[in-house]
Amino acid sequence: MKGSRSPVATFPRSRGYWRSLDELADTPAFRQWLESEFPHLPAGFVDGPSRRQFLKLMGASLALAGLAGCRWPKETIVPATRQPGDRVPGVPVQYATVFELGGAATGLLVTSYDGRPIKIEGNEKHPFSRGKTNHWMQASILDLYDPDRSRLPVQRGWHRRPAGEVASEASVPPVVRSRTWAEFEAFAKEHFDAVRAEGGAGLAVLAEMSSSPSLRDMQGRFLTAFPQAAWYEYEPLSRDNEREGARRAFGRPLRAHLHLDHADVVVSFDDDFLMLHPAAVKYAGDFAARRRADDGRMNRLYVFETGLTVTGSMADHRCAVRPSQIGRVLEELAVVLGDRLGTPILNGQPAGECPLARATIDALAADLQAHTGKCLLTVGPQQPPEVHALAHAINAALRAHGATITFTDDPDPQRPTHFDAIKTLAERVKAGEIRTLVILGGNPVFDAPADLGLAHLLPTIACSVRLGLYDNETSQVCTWHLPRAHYLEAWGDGLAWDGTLGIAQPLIEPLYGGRSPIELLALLCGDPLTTGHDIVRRTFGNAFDFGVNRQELWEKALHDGVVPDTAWPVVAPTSSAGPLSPAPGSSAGPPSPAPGAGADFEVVFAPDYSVYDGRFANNGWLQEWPDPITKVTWGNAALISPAAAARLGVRRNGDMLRVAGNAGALEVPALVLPGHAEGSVTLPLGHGRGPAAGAVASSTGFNVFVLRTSQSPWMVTGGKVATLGKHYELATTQDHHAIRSAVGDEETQRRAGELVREATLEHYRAHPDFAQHVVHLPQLKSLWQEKEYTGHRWGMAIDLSACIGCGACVIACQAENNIPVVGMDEVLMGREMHWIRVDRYFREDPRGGSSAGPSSPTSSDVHVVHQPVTCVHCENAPCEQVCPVAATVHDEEGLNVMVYNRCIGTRYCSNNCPFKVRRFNWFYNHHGPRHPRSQADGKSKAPGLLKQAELSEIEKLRHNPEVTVRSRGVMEKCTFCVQRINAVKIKARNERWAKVPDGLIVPACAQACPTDAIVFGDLNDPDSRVRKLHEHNRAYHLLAELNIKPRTAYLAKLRNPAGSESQK
Amino acid sequence: MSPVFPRWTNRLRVLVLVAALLAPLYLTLLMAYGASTQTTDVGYAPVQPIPYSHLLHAGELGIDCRYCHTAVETGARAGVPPTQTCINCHAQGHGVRQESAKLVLMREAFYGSEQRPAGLPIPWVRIHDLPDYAYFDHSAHVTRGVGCVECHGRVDRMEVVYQAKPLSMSWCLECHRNPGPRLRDLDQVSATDMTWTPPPGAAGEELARQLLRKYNIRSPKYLQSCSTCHR
Repeated sequence: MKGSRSPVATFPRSRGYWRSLDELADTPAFRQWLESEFPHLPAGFVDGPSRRQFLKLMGASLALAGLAGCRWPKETIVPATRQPGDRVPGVPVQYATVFELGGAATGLLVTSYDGRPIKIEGNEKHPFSRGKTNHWMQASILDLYDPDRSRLPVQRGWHRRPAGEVASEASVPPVVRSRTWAEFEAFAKEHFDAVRAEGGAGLAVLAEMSSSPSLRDMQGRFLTAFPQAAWYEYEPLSRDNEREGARRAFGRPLRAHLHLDHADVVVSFDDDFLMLHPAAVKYAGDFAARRRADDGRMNRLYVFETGLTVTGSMADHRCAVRPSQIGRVLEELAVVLGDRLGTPILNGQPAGECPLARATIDALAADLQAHTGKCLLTVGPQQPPEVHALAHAINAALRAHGATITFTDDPDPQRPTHFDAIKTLAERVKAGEIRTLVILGGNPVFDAPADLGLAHLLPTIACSVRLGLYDNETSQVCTWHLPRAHYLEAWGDGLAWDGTLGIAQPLIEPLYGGRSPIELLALLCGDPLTTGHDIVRRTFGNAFDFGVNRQELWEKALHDGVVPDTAWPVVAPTSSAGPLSPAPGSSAGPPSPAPGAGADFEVVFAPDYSVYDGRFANNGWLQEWPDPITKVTWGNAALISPAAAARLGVRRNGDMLRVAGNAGALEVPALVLPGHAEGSVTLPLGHGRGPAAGAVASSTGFNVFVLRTSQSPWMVTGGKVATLGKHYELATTQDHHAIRSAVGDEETQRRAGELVREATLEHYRAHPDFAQHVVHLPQLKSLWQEKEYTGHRWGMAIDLSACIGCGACVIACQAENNIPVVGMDEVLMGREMHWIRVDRYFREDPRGGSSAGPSSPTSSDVHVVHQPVTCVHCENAPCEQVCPVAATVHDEEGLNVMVYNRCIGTRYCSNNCPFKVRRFNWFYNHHGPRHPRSQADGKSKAPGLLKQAELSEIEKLRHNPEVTVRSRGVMEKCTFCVQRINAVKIKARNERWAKVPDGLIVPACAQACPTDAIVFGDLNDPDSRVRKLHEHNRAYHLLAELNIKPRTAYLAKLRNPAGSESQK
Repeated sequence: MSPVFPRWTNRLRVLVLVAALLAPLYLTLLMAYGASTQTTDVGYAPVQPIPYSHLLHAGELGIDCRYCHTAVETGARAGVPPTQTCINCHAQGHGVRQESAKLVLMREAFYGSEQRPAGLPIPWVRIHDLPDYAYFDHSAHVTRGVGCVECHGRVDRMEVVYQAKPLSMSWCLECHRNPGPRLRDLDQVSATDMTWTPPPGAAGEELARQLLRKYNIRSPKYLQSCSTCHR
């Protein structure tokens, strides 16, 4: 065994909860992390300046201090010349708009502070937001202020090549010129007038998926102006399999809507509906509403999936299944269920063998049968259409249609699938049929299937125009790049997943002079209306201008951001007659991989939780946001099961793998993930874009798109995986903030179980107060004098049953509290600055993740608990007791406040904090020395000091002026959003309210939480929600035995495995 | 061997000793005086782009503070008025002092000129400048009976506005520790009244007690909490 310890080979028996395989196996790396007093200290200091430099610097700074010490810089106040009536300087205003991702829009309220948007929140009036958001919406505001966005149109002179000849980028560099919009307009008029004279022959448009009615309207006008033009729509993370599956099942593409609030049993086949569905924010809320068991009932979630997803982590029963076998499981279920219900669902026997034990399927079928009409099956978009069709048939047999699943017509049933569209476009370009191509957003050179070779095809087009936020991979092979307006800078509209219309209004003039796709189309087709407002108003008018109060209707729509009762009508699906035949094409699954080296793997391409399909790659918040499951920041990794790791010889996370698929090969670090299906490897898409993505993304991650082909965009069977003997340091935060105490490993492990408390619903019913009795609490006497709180007493409650671990709170907090991004190297040293983290614990033996399924039908192969942890504002705060300068103290309402100006940076408080929620500013962190921008173009201020880039004026605009921007050398931590507390309190007292109503003060994390797992309020108010939750029978306090009296109560997690008969 | 130092330097030893003993005291006093806001900030009266006279407008003409500083009762900032507010009186055509040379910049800002397009703001120089980590809210004070004069001094007598009070943290705390004497009854006296002073002696103490109750002013302990002013 070469004497090395593999994390996989040496599991101790049962260790309760653990964060990572390293911790479980107690590897030397983990031990070293724990035992160094400051794991993040060593490489931290600047290369020390020499004595001479030191004296020089000190002399210079003393001399300068004399000059600068008199008064801070002169500031000017520049009031508006004419002030708009609704604006008061310094008073933030919220405006409604919509955010679109993956073809569905979600309503937002964006806070504007003196004209600059600084924070995004959900729109309570929007049915798919209900006031909540996910992390992508929260982070999208950072893209607005990204200094890497393009500012001017760019023209590139490509050498004209005869059609079909493959150009190599390296040989002929283009001539790049910055242009103005006026120059482009002059060019466009000449060029597109000529194209119009030919009726638009040779013209094509490639657009992202969008639900915008105005874009649809402009598309019609464009195609009227250019009748022979072709319109293609491509989205790399397409949900077209779902659509085609419905077409197979019902004869026409219908869009399914899950009603998780009505479903007692939910079965997901590789569907991450809590995170990746366009309606995920709503689905997460609906799902979590059924997890609290307030009426003694809960839903039950079965998940059959390949990689461990957020949805899988919430499952009551979870089986890891290779992607090609998901269909087999579903077929087996159809057969068993058909027998039980007496109506065959599947015609004949399935061709393949089910990878799971018959008992598992039997138990599932029995549970489904018992909940006929109150259950639903859902299948992920990466599964082939026939699997979707089969799920529809099973759902129909279970009478789910109309009860827990409803359908609406697809908004664009004639559209070819996205992969067909991009393939057709590539073929036409190859054949020389396309002479002018307009690309509206999207990044096909990076994210189109690799076998199409768009990077080489696009330069052969005589005129290609791309509108985009960044001058990126695709723009660089087009003849024109045009800067696009960010969605917060542009007028627009969008339909929610159910068709509800939302209006997008600009919060700010385009910072970089960008324009929106509808404005570009209007320019190209000579529309008399040129501004986004007029176009959106026209579309709206065409739909609604028939009453008397037309303008009022429009203004109300703008104000609310959503037009109620515009959802598509629900249609009743008409099933194709008779039982389905088993899918012939895919029935011959790949053989089970033989043990040994050079094995075949099923390679799965998955959306990345942080950068989606790569479009958010240059967003520092998202890059540094730990993935909910892997806790990886700044990049991606190939996810494999522990068994596969042992087989391949992966010793530790970060060992490089070579993954070969149909289109090529890729080197990527491995990450061993418990609960991953054996014999498969999951590759998150969207990373590794290189310098074209911008300074932040330039050196992160590995590009997985090179393996993706149009034939198999989601999965490659027979992929070859081998270790390379190299290592790459993955910046994961999963072991950070662990503590080793004097009580020893076993005891620590035992106590970890006390940090997260959970029970089955059955146990909870029998022992409703189980959470309080996990730890025996002796009568504790305080050494300190207890403080009396007569006014407010702020507190928080976090429901572990409702928390899905999505991490929206982390980004919301980052945006609200001006939390800096530190960069990958700092994260590796454990110096990430997030004030709230989501701890992810695994439980039980990690080796269960095999395709053989769990041993008994009522077990699950991996248990996960998500626990958001932020400062709990202890009553007897250990941090306060050790601060030598009283920089952290209690205020009169129980907040543990941090006084930045007093802090001298001893870090004793952090050392003494049992929750490890304090963060130290090792540098001035807005572009600290290891921030990618500093590494790209930072300058060192003096010899021997680390390079640091200045924060540009544009970037400063994103800061929340209500929160102090912390400087170097001070500690910081969660404040319970004291700025929000004060804002409401001041307003309440100005206006002489009798009391502050409960629920009006909402910290950023609780505001964003899609499942309402975080609740904040006044513990002295007997009717407040938080008080009731503190008195809930599931409530417990972390480390209560230390008598620190945390202000945050956790509500124990409940699970509802089959057998607890919850629904009776 | 000749001595390194000449003999007469012996006399300096006493002098050096005395200087060394006094130096720390001297430096401390110098720093305390030189760096205090009383020295650095009080009396700060920068030249403004337009020589606007509060003495004339607020004092002699008696225009209420809130005519220009409109947000003082509702927002954190009192607000420097938009140019439109000036134009209300100084409009072209029918206003007062239309041709005044002192108002060239104001007219340019509003109507534009050959040199400047209309709509550019007037760059007033900030006088009362708290550090960025102190979050003062005008509305919270003005609606609780703290008059303008308490922090800004007799602005109605200032030809050129200057900083009258140190605006240091210790100065803020003087009032936060004992807010009563600085309060006035807003039903009787306007917050913008610059001349009102509390009645002397026992009557003043009684009024302070009443107003602390009336405006529900928090305890000095609360008012001294860090989070009251810092975020």
